[in-house]
Amino acid sequence: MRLAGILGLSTGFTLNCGKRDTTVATPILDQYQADFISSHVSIVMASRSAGNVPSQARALGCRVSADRRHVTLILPVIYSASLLDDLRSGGGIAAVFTRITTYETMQLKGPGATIGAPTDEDRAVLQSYGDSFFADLRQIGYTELFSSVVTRMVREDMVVVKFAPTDAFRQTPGPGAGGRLEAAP
Amino acid sequence: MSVALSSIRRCLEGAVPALIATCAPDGTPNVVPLSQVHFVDDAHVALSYQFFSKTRQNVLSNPRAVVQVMDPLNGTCYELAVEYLRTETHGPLFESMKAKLAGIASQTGMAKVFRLLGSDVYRVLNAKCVVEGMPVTIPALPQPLSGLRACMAAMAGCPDLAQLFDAVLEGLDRFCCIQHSMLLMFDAAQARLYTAATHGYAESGVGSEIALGEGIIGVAARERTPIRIGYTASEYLYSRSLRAELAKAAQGAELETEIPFPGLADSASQLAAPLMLNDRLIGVLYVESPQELRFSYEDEDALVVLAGQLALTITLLSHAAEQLEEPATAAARVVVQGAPVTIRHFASDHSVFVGNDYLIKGVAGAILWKLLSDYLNDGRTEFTNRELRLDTGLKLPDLCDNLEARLILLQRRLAERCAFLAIEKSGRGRFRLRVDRPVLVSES
Repeated sequence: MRLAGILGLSTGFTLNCGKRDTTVATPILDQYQADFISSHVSIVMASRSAGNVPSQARALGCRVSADRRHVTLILPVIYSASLLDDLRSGGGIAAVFTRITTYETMQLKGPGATIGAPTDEDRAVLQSYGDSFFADLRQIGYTELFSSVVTRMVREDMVVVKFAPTDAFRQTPGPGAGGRLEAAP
Repeated sequence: MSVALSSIRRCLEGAVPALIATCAPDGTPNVVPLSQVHFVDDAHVALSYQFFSKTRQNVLSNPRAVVQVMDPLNGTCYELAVEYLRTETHGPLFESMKAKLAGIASQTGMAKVFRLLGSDVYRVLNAKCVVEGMPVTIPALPQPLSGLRACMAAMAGCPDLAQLFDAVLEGLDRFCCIQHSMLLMFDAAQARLYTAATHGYAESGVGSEIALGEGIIGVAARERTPIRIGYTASEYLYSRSLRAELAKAAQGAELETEIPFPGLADSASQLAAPLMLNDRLIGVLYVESPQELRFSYEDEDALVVLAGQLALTITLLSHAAEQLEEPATAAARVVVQGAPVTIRHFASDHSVFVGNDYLIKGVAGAILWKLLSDYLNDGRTEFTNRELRLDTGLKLPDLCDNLEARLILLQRRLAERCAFLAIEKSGRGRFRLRVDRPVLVSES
């Protein structure tokens, strides 16, 4: 089994390490970033309990609102119990998005999230996510087996987690990982 | 469902990137991909610390974290609830992870980006399956444990070191499907390892040397720890750099006294296990393969056990050779004929040349020179290990040095490089010098 042959570090994100205003006058995400997280990327979310013990779960699709202020993640209920409990209890949310063919990675954070049932629009995202993610899996040499695991997860009961990101960070492996991202004008 | 960490070790090979979620003291969660999750023991893992990241900042103030890993064979996901304990910045764990990270970095095009600053050791509070994988038939791989058993059975009948070395390396091929292997012995005085036996290479490379700390073998020896890499790591490859250096030296130098290291040019998986007798380093058992991820944790377990057994057996056989001499067997009649050949000895490093061809240096070179001198002065051909050990002129390294292994090295170099000189065993603790051509000697 081979890992991805990396194509080089992405420069798709604007890096800004300076102190920033916490009032969100413009959306955190620019169009490139919104398109990136809505594409066939690997998505993992985290929250935490009242005692600050972290939890995590995998999502199977992402949708960004037209104004780019809200992000909706779709995930199977059965594999996400701790995370959903923590979100319901008011824990903040972090979500990391990685394009598995290039390791280009970004992380979004929000102070909390709402949980709801998926709409038809969410289900459509789920379907197209699976198809394009499989193509990437194949490209980096993963067997059909991994696609089968994702396919099975897609058939489970889904829930959506919606949040308004207040921070974005570059996480592509390297010394710049963790730097804050600003939306390009 | 909770699982034993040791039962999911193959998820920690780096084939599928892992993820770690942490939480800042203010309650802000963080989740990022991880380069390396290293199995320490059933209750501990170590994570690579490469940059001062948010993850690190978080665990220093709130040690609880969650790590997700995936089984590369069936896609099963496991979640490890962990607690940060400490960071190690040197020593066996650090060096082992550094070598492994170099392989992962090189495989993912990150060779210039990834640099290990520390090994973050975490206690594993719980490991559980979170997503069931697909039922798959695991490809039939050689079973390391049964291979190990067969190798050890083959070792048991060996009367001397030479046969032991061959039995182990041939056994690895026959019983464990490991085609490329070598055994290096440690020279404590020189802080170097010399190759005593190899298997599966075009050139045997017996007599080639590796400095302590050089490449995977040298680091495994220095740190007294097994090191296993599943992907080519250029900084740990001997073949390329050494061959280039040798080619350069061969062009410029009149007298070449290096024996090329025989390692595979396209080595992708490497495993070096130190031979330890209590806390004493005897040597290193090294195996490699052109196939990525060829050696598993189970192979590492087996090789470490084999290396331990080998260290013990080498010590016992060497001791027996010097303490329990047998009477010499009868010598065959030798006819000395042909044109005389000049053998040169350089006292500075005990290098010995046959004509213009480099043969050997160091302790083995000094031994050969003593044997030839005695042969030319007194006509002696029969010798014992013990007399070499007691010979003050030879200035042998301390008792810990393995004289028997030096003799095997000399015997094999002669067999490969010099048709008219040979060292033959004439009984336990004894050997015979055979000279088939007239020799002239020159000392510098």
